[in-house]
Amino acid sequence: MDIKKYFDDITKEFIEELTKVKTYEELSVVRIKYLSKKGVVPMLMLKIKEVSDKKSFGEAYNKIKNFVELTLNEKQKVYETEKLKQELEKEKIDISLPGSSLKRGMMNPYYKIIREIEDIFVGMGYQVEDGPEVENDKFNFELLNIPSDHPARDMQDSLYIDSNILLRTHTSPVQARVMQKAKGKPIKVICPGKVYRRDDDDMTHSHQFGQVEGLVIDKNINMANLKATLELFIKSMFGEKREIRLRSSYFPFTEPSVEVDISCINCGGKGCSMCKNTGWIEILGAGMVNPKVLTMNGYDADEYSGFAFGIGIERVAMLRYGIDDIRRIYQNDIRFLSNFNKICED
Amino acid sequence: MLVSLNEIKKYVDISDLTPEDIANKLTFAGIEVENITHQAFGTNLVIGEVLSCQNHPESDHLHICKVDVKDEILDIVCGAPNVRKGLKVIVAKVGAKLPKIEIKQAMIKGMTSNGMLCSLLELGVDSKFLKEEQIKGIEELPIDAPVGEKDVLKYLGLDDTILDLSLLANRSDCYALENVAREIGALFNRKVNIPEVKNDATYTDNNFKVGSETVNCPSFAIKIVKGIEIKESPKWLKNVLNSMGIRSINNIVDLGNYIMLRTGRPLHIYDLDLIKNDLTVKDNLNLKFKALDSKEYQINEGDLVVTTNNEAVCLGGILGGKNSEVNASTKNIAIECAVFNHAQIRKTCSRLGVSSDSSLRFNKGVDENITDYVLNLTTNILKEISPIKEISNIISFNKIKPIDTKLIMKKDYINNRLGTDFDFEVIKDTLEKLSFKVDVDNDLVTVIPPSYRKDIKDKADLSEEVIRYLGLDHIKSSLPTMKTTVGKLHQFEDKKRIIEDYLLNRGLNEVLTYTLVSKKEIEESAIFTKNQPYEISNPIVEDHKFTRTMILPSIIKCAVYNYNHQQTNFGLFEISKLNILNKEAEEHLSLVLFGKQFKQDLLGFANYSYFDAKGILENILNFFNVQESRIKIERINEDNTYLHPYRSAKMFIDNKLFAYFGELHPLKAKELGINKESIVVLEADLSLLYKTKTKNNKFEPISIYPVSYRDYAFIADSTFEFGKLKTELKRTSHYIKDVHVFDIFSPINLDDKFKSIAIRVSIDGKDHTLKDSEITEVDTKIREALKNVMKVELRK
Repeated sequence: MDIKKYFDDITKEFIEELTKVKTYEELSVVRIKYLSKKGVVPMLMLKIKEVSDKKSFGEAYNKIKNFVELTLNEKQKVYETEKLKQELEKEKIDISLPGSSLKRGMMNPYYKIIREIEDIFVGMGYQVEDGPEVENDKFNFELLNIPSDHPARDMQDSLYIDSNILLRTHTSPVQARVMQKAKGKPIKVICPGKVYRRDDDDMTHSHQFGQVEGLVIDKNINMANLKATLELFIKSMFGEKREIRLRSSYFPFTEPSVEVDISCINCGGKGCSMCKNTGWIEILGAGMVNPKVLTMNGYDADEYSGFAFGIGIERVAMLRYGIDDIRRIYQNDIRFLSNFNKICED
Repeated sequence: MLVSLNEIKKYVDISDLTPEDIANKLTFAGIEVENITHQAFGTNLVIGEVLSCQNHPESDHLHICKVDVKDEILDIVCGAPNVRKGLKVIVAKVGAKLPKIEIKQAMIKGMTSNGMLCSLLELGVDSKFLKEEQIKGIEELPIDAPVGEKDVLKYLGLDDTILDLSLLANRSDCYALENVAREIGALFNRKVNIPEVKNDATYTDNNFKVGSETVNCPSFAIKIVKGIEIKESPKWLKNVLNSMGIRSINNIVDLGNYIMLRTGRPLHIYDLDLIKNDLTVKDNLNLKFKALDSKEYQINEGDLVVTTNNEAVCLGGILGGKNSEVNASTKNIAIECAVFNHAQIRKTCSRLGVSSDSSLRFNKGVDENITDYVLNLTTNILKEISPIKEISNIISFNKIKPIDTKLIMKKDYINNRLGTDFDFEVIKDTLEKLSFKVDVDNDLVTVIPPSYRKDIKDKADLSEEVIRYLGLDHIKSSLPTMKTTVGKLHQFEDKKRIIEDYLLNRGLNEVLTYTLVSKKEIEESAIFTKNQPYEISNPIVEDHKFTRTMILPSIIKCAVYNYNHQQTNFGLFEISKLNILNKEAEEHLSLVLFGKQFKQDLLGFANYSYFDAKGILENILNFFNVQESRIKIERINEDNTYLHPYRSAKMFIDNKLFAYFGELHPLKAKELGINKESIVVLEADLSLLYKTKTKNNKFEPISIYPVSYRDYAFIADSTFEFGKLKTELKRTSHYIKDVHVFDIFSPINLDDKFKSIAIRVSIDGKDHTLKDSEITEVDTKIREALKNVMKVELRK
């Protein structure tokens, strides 16, 4: 018996049958015919009894078996792919429908500014401190060189609980508290918080607003140190291009005292309505700590010196985002807050 | 403080400086100029004479005038009722610019008009300085006015420019024109000429006695002048007062005001014939006092009162008395120049709700050392503006001891403080220009400030003087060189930020509301908290009278505001410190979930519920690693009308109250005007959480053995609580890892109060794979517990 021819005939027959296959089901019929237990290919093995060269027979058998299996598998894969494609098509969706997003909430700009300020100064090695909002007269005024009959008290009309206790009118009392705690050691702190004044609420005034107090004390601290620190802060907050300038001013707890202006955010210094054509915008107050304040709070004013500054949080927010009315910050209209969502994710 | 530059010119030459130059320099030196205004304004003006004046044929009020302006004769149509032939007038020629208009050639009802005849109002003079006829008609110039004069504003005495100084508390010396002149002189390096005054006493008065019975009036001096005449002030005096915002009354009153503006020392002038032979200051009186403004004031102990023969004649430093007022028939006067304590003046003013130019200056503190100068200056000028018969010597009481402020510093002190490198000679020169006396002894420098600079008390003040004079732009930038420190947030700030970020990422908006609230919010908060508020003793409005004890009422208001502005589905939260009476401040978190929330399915929304608030709390506790076993939950008082009594709870950590949360009571929602939308709220005391001690996060190995699950379904009545079931089941075997509910429904065939509940119990052998027998044992225990302890009926 010519095994080779016999096997070739079967192969030819298989190929012929396969070419006639049109569907996955027909393919299954062919598979069963050739590869099932009693199928054409396994049955070939019975012929081994009839040949002498069993080795060659074995090789030829394996060859035809592998060929049939491989060919069927390939063909099956094609059908399967086709079938899956049809199923997936049934799951087709409208890709233009909105995404099922859970939107991120929006932060009131007040908090965003506090966080930014904190992060800038923490990066410069400052500690963030905290102090009480209900203060006594001693810390809010006296220890800051504002005795009870000082004319500077006219500047701050305060909300009193009783003759001695009031809502702090500035974050400066934390200066005194920090100094007393540090007991004559160097200090480098900022303190953000709410402060209160006896003001009617209008576009630019609010009976409640936020401040960030800064205080640095060490030997040999001077005004050039203050200027550099504020420059660094302003450039971090408002961009590299911002310049600062100092104007002489007065606060009882600093001497010299200065107002700090920044080159206008809107026009860059050329002059516009925002800066009233001056090219500059007032941004914060600062100065060298008054030696009397150092002495009252346990520092040797001949050995130590320091600087302090106070930043208005809403003021910064209003300039940064061009907010026209401070009351909007306390109104919390969601449509207002949504302005700050993008920057939040920066 | 309004400053007339024409007045300044009398003391220092500023003719080559613009008002802007001066304003700029003052501002940078710490004396802020808020505003520059011109008293009157107009270009292309000339003085003219009306040659003829005829009625306009086609108008009932217009006149056709020929006006001689020396170089030419102009045809001008004028509507003023007082225009007439022969009148000297102010003419604005074609091309003139006035504050509100520009003059052009015009045809008025067929007649050409080449200019306009002006009123002072049209030149921008404030109407408060004008009489009615000056407002209604054109200005009538004196008959001797020079026709053709082009510098009309100067002729009128209205060519002044006014600087409005916004003075800070340290520079009260600049409430005196003379001191502003000194400052400008120093800043521009010019000589300042303040004329000397003469002692012009014509007799020595031995009868009149002055004195003070209180330390709050340490100095009281008068000068008596006899034979004066009350009349209109001369033009120069009127002009000075007008330009600095004070109305002219008569020569004597005006003089008092002028001296105050010039020297910073307020005067009071009495009609000598209406007082007795003494003036004594007292502060122990209780009486009613009728002041110049015809109002009656209650004087209490402490208020400074000038008395004559025990009768009050002046509320010292604030208001004069009606009974001794200078009037049209006054012939003899006593001029008072005293020092009243600033704190007492402020106290009295704020109690009585009055203030005056005089009290303002006392308030800020006056230069006590110039009393004699001021009184002599007053009489020197009085002689020019009134006839005089006799002038007395200065009769004075004075307990003020001169204070010699002497400041000693090292030569390098100022440079060290400023971080500058000025030559010492420059520093010395600067201080001297500012009228400080400087003595140098080797390395030590002694500086004596001028008497009017009461703000200079310490050597640090000298550093400010130097740098404000030389310019703050001399300060370079150089970061401090300190020991390196690690920057740190406040101890709880890290924790706060974790919660903030979680809520933001969950879609809630972070809001900021006011600390101060009304009584209503405090009463609402009292439903939940025993914490008491601080009460403001001097609130601005009743709405801001108390420090809040909870954030919730504020944040609900905020939600209602947004709802009323067409926002429907949203979440809000706030984290804020609360100031609590007699207790440490607490930091609270409060939130509102309003309406519906987005669910995972496409376009699907579901109402916010109790479980959303609870889920948030559970998540937060999980961040802080607070074990479930430490948390307890209880229903809140059923009688409350704030939260839904059956859909709300309070949560405890270690038996300490941590939070209230739940759905808003329908009655409360209705009160807020919300009918349909669901509102879920929460308030938690974060300070309690911050302080709660928890285990550190440590890696726990993941079990390599499989977990088995068993499901149970049962019917339970309305008393059933899942929390109790969970505790009970966990108690039956330590292999039980967790218990979940995966279905709750009310079968149709059962009463409403019964529910079908399905749970899944996870069973974990932890260190070995559970054998079937072990699982069966756990299963049996679970079934027994369900039946015997929980009393529920297992479904088949």
